[in-house]
Amino acid sequence: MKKSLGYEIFMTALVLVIIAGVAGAVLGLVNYFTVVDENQLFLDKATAVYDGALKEYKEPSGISQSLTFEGGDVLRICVPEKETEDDVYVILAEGEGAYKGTLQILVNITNGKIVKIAKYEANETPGLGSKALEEGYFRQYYGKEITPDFPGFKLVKGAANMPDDVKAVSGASKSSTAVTNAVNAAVHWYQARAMKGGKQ
Amino acid sequence: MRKDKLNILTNGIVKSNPTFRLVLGTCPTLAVTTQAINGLAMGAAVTFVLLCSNVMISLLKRVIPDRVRIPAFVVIIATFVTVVQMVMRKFLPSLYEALGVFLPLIVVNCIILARAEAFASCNPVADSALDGLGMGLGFTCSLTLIGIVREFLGAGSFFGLPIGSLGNVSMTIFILPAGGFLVYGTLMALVNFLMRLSENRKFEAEKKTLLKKDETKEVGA
Repeated sequence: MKKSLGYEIFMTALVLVIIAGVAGAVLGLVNYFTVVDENQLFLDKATAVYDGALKEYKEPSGISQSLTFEGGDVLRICVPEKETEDDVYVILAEGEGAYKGTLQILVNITNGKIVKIAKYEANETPGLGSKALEEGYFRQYYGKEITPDFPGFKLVKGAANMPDDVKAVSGASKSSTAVTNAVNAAVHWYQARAMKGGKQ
Repeated sequence: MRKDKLNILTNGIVKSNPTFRLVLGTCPTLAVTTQAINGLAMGAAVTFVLLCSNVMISLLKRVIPDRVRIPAFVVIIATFVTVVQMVMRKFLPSLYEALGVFLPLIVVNCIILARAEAFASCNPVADSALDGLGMGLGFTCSLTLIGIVREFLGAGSFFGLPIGSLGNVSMTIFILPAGGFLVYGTLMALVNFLMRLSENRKFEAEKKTLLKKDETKEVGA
């Protein structure tokens, strides 16, 4: 009786371990063939906002404290690989408050102005929240001079009266909020770092 | 013999359609069908997982100890789901993004576990494969149908192609969760109505042939 119990425990464990081992081997093999290069993916998507090769932005020495932003975050910053006359930053920013958690956008700030925004990763409802991730909506952020005392874009529903106001897409106020949060995170990073650090 | 096999296959598509007849896996059904293409992709992913896991579980049904069969099933299902996820991420990144969290959630899709437990663990390999394929196709057809209706009413397009200027007069509620319930319920009622109609017709036809037989018997007597 005792022996058969031990045998049963051993066999049960053995079968489960073998199944798990085979499953692991299969997954490892599949992963080997389908692995996605995250860096390449980022660079591919970044061509939507900046046409040219990019490299990682390095913090100028002397600035080391990390920055936090309300409602958003700056995940990655790139600058053109070659020296250019313009002061270009490509910022991957994340905004909170989206319909499905957070969304990520790419922001190109050139010479202190937002010149281009593109969707990076977002999963908003097609035909509804996705309207806040289209060029027609992004255009409202373009061309605004980012001065050191610029408080950030303000999202309003209905008519936009003030110069810093951005009109929310009707029916997509959550997605609009998240995009504004992400843009403001990029703007505030620019104010805090790039203006002080100057051109590399 | 041949008819038996065909029955197993069509059983999942029509008679016990997982979405409209068994009402299984309603969570992804309502969540991903905002566009027809998403429904189709989700259905295809589930079909692949169902087919593979059914075959695998049927093959291993004598090896897997009865008491730990559920963990073993879940490991097998999770493996195939992860394979689908990896392949989709590499080759269909836009669909991968659109399906989002519902792709890994196929692991706990009740259709797959139900078929593993109810069919594959006590039937031969070929039958299990046919059952998995049939169920998967039924699920795919249902999801695509719901997706087509919701996309047409909610966004005025068909598989992402806008139909004229219908997009301007579309009813946004149909791509919201509430619209999902409405479309799902209406289609379920319609499918069940049609099923009952065809069953009644079959019944009437059978009744007639029986009566005729009786008549001929009486005449003969």
